[in-house]
Amino acid sequence: MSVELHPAPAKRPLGTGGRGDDVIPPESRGWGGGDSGGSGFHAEQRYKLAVWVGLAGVVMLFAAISSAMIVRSAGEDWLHVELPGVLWVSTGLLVVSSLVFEVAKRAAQRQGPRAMRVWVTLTALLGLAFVVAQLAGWSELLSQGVVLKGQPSGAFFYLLTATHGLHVLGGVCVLTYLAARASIRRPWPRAKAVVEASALYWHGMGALWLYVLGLLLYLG
Amino acid sequence: MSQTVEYTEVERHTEPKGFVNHWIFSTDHKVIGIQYLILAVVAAFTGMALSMLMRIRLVWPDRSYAFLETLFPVGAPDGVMTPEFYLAILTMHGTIMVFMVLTTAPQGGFGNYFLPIQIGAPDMAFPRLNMLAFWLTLLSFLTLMAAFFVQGGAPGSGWTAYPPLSALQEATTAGIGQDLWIVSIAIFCIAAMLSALNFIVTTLEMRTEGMALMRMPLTVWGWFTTAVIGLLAFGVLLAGGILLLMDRNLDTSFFIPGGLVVSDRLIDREGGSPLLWQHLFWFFGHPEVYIAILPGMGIISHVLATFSRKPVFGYRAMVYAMMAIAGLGFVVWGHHMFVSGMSPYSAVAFSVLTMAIGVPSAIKTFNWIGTMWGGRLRLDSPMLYAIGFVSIFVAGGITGLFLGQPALDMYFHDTYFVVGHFHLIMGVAAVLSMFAGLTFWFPKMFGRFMNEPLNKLHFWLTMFGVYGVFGPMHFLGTLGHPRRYADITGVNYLAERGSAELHYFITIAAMILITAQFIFLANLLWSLFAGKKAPENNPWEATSLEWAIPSPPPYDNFAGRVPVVRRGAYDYSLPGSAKDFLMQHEPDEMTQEPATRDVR
Repeated sequence: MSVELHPAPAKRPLGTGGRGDDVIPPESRGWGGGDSGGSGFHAEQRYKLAVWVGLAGVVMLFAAISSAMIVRSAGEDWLHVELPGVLWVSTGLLVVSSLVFEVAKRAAQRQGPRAMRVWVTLTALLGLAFVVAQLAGWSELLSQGVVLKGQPSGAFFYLLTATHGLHVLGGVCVLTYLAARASIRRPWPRAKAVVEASALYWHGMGALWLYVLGLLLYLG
Repeated sequence: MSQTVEYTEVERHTEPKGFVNHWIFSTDHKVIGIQYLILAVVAAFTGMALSMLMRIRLVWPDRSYAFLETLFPVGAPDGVMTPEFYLAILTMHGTIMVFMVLTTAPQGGFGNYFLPIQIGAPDMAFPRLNMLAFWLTLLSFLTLMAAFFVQGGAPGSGWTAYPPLSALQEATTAGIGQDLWIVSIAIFCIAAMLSALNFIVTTLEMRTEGMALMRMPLTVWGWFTTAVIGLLAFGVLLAGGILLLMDRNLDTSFFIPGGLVVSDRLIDREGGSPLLWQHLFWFFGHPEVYIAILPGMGIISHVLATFSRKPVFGYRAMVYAMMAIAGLGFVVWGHHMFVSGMSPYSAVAFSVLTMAIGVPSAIKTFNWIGTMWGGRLRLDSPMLYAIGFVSIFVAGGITGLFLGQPALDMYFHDTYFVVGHFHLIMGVAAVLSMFAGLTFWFPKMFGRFMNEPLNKLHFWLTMFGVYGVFGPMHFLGTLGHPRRYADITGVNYLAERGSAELHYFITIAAMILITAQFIFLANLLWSLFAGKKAPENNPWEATSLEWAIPSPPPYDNFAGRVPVVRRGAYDYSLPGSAKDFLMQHEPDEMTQEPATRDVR
């Protein structure tokens, strides 16, 4: 009698690999994901993952500065710095800019990339306004006599805001590119991927600022 | 032999035209990999020359050398190296070797070249970012080397740059050299993080069909794990570097304590903590050890399986061990600071965690031996280097167990015992993995073999050299010989116990070791142009995807198509298989067996 045994073994008896499907139709094969194949380059996934990974690196940078600040705040020469009021204005600007970018994203999704150019420009301008407001905060503190030397809490204030500000400026550059690219009447197949990844970064910078502000309020 | 690869047409990249686009500002991961390797070779020979100067200074402290006076009129007036100059070359040797060789070659060099091919991708996920990372790394190297030529010369605060020495303009290493060092490291951090980002996204998103995570070659796992470590560690060093630069130039006081007197002058700073730098530095510094060694572990696993004609013993255990090493590497930094006055409770915690790394390390060693056990060993030069790696990894790892215990470290700290230990485990082991990788992949990269007898000569001279140099250093350490001293000939307790003779032996061994490296360099250059031609795509009869394409690989790796992967990376000597290896893209003979069987 002939008995059918395992017409297609679920798991290979030998070898070191894991699951791998051989049943994907040729037209949908492509790079990415290994197990599932899928089509094309998965640009959206790649860009978004890159931003998540990049944000992890940025978080480590700020975590290191934060931990240094916590250690240093135990020193006897640590003086409390009254945060400049303009920081609340800059916080508001950054929050609004994130909302505007969401509007831009939705406009692009509904009507194509070209529809977002005004909103993205506005987001970039709000980002620039944020940086200007931060500089106004610096000037306010300097006029109060808070300098780098002998005032560690002030030094951390300048360092944290400068490091964050540089990251925001980087984001403004990307937004400027987005606005310019959206204005050109040329096909832009990766628009969705680029916009979503940029939004992720921009919101990340907003969240990071809220963290920095909390740290400055608590320790500074 | 079947060399057919099943492809699907997806996207074809056009090859750049012109020398500059092709070889200088290239976005091709293979060219960038070679650029990293060239940088590492230049850096390695620079670092080696500096180490030779150190050995000369230690053994013949008073002897005058005319060429030194010509090269370094300030550091070696009358041809005799000053103690400050000794510290400067010591600092530069360490920095160049750790950052520009151990961090660039295994990851930036081999990783860039082979990771995309091994996972079946046409390039890295972000080729332009890749190019940017390399050029930033080169800029970092040039900035570092510039420190030799500025007022005050290169910094002398060691590769660990401990403040207050590194943080004070008033200290003996005054000048812009230390600033250049910090800026160079900061640039390097940014480059390394960009590169790590690229590696992570490429590994997760660019794998070809069928290349499940647990089918990836262990080399890819090594590069991926290293990228994760690099991403999380370099940001911390960058933060520390920024703070240090501010202390030096903007009068802040993050690391400079109050009441400090330098050259009879009270330093006008207060409140800073030198220990804060140590915490930040070693939070990066210990994972850095694994950044140097994990890609090597991947290469060694790969080579051992190929030349033992056996699957890697315990593939999954190898992957999990790498992850465990990477994770534990972030929580052991305190063992570099046992003598800093830390709480004994903290010391015990750091010590236990440090010992815990012995477990995954032992798993890996056991599995390497298990891979070779009962295999039909082919003792070609890549295999010799791989076996040498295992030997050095055990020797260097065991001395780590001494240093990981606070009570013993109190004695051994800052002695030559530490120098011997970390050179073996971090330096030599990683470099042997590079030799293994280079000799293994040379036929793929350049379509030619390296000269085998010269490689074997180089291997044996190197093994004698490294044990001859770094073995006796452990004895020097047990004698209580401190490191970083330019001249210790007048110290009685050491002289009576024969330290001078040991130093002399080490210097002779170092000369042999360095001579051997010139043999390798000559072999490398000669083989590029006149080496024996590699006969086919797959001369080593290996299984991973790079061996399925021509040597050297075409611009687009798989000619714009996608290979389909059907199996794990180490299917050697499968029972029932007609040949002793099945490549990753070859159909599975096991599933093609008759599905019916007569059970009557």
